Amino acid sequence: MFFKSFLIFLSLLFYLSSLAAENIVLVEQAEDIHPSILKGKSKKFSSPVGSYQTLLKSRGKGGIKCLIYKVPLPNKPQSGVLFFIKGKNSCPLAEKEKREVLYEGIKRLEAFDIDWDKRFSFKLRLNYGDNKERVLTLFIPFPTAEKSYWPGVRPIRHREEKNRSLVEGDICHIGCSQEKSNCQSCPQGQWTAFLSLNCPGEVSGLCGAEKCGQRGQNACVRMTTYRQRVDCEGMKKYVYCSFGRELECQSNGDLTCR
Amino acid sequence: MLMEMFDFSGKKKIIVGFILLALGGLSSYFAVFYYKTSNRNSQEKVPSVVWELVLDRVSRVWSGDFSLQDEYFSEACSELSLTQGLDNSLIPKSLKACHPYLFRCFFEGRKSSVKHKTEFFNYEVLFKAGESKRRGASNLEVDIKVGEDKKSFELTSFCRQVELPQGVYWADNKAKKEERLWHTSGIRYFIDKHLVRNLDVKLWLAKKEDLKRLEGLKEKYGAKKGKDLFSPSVDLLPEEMKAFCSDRRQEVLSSRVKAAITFHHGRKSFSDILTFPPSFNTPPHPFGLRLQESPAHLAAKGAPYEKKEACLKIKASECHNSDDNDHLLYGMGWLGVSELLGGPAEYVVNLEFPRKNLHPSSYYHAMSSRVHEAGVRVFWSGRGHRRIDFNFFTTPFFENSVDHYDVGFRCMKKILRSNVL
Repeated sequence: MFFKSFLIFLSLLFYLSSLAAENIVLVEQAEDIHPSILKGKSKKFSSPVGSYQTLLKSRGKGGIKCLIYKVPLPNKPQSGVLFFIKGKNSCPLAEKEKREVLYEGIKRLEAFDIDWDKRFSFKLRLNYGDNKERVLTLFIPFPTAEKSYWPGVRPIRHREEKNRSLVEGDICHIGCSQEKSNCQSCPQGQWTAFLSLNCPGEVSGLCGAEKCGQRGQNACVRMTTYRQRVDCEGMKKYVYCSFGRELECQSNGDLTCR
Repeated sequence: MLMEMFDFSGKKKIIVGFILLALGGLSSYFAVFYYKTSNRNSQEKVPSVVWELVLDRVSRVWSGDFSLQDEYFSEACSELSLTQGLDNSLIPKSLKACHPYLFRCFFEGRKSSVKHKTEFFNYEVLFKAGESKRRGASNLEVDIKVGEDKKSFELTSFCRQVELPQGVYWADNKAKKEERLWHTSGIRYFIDKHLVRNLDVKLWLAKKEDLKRLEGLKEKYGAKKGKDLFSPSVDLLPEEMKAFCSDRRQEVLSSRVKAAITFHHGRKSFSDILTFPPSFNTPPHPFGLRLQESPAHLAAKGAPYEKKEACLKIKASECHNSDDNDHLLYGMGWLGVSELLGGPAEYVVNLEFPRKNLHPSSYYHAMSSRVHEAGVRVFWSGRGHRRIDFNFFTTPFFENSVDHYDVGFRCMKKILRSNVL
């Protein structure tokens, strides 16, 4: 009898300990914490239905890791999912196979007991299954990237080093291409703006300082235009050459000075 | 039913009991381990509030809120003779702010502490040897150690620069007003709030090997000390100015950006800059929407003006070397950029009119001179600082009999914000 009780006690202890271990999550280098959680108010995540709510992101050397909650749909009340997902620069929500599911079948999720003064933590209460409840505590080591009490002082963020190194004369940005500018990778960050007849609405960039206006160089930019089609004569309002030089339109759309 | 589950006999009892005991012990250990590491903050090796006190202190010093006469600081920076004969009250906070060298003098090797309740917590700022390896990093990276806790931070140069809001601005004076307008077009301009200082050039020269006429310059700057180090640098030639700015991943201020910040923005409010063009009656000074807000305008009209207030706006000849009125910082305009009118003449890069590369408004001109206006440009050959090196065309020349004229400069940075507008 005594032995049986002892065994039950041990099993309960084992169960409780594993429970305790499971419910605490440590999040290093947290940023982009959900605004409602950051404001320190408790928040029930119930809308918009079916949406993915980013609770926070954690940035490390390998990329970023997001904690996402998928809000359940009204016709599927237990379809809420809480998961981690990793990505390089953003979290690929559509790639279900990359998810590290923490809990699924969630009916309700609430953030509460939010403390940014002492413990730097908040809790998530999950209701799932048949009225089962779980409380998850997230600790975010101080200081977080979000807290900017101190102007000019911030925790180091891991940044992706661009592999491509540019030299003077390289095009560092193509206007109207939807690509991100790479002009900060020009030698000593020096670059010059120019426009093309094919893209008068967005500035392009060339590595090197003062590389416009002179003979054989691109024309310099005065301003871009919303107009879709501009002829060579019309471009004189938007670009300029150095005094005494004239604008020349090349067949490939380049605007140069002669 | 629960009891039946555990109905073993004899040896099995002992084995099962042993296994359960071991598992129970292990899981308790892990639970405690997780709890302890997760709760590191509330376990309080170093309380968060102590970190807050330390970061308060560090960020204040980084913002220039410290005395140059601080004993530790003066000794640490002694080889620069920085504080020789210096009255700290004469040096504005903004000239000490966001300055890696001064910050390092203040904190390197210094053992400091903060008090929380009744306990003292020691802290130290640790600097990394050599330049930052991260390409493009223009901020200072440090480790801050509080007790046994150490964390890495970067200190940004937010206080040295200000961003020009996106929108359309006036460029230099031209016959047709429409041709004077230009738009930032998604290019972000970060402009240095002050002219480049002697201290910065002195530090730069110490690391520079490959410039012509270097030895002469090094000797000249080696002799500068005390308050003079916080004055604008006025001896460089354009090639050296460009090299200085380029080594900081910046470029020399362009003529049209100088015009944009020296004219008033010409709109009813700051937030209108993005959506409205400037008024055609925009005053050619950065102090406000009315012409009368410029002391130069009042002086030119023969109207009375208050000298002390005037010298805080334009450092004209009446203000230079005069005890009460020679302020280190003056001429702050609508954007928060200082030293826009008066002071040394300012060199600018002008790609459209290369022979209009100098803003002549300086302390060689009286307050009533018409040079103290935005958009005025003359020519500097960049070969020297003598009369023969300047061509003012029809603009009144420097009123000074000595054949040497100071030319200052400042840097700016351009960042392309792609997929904008």
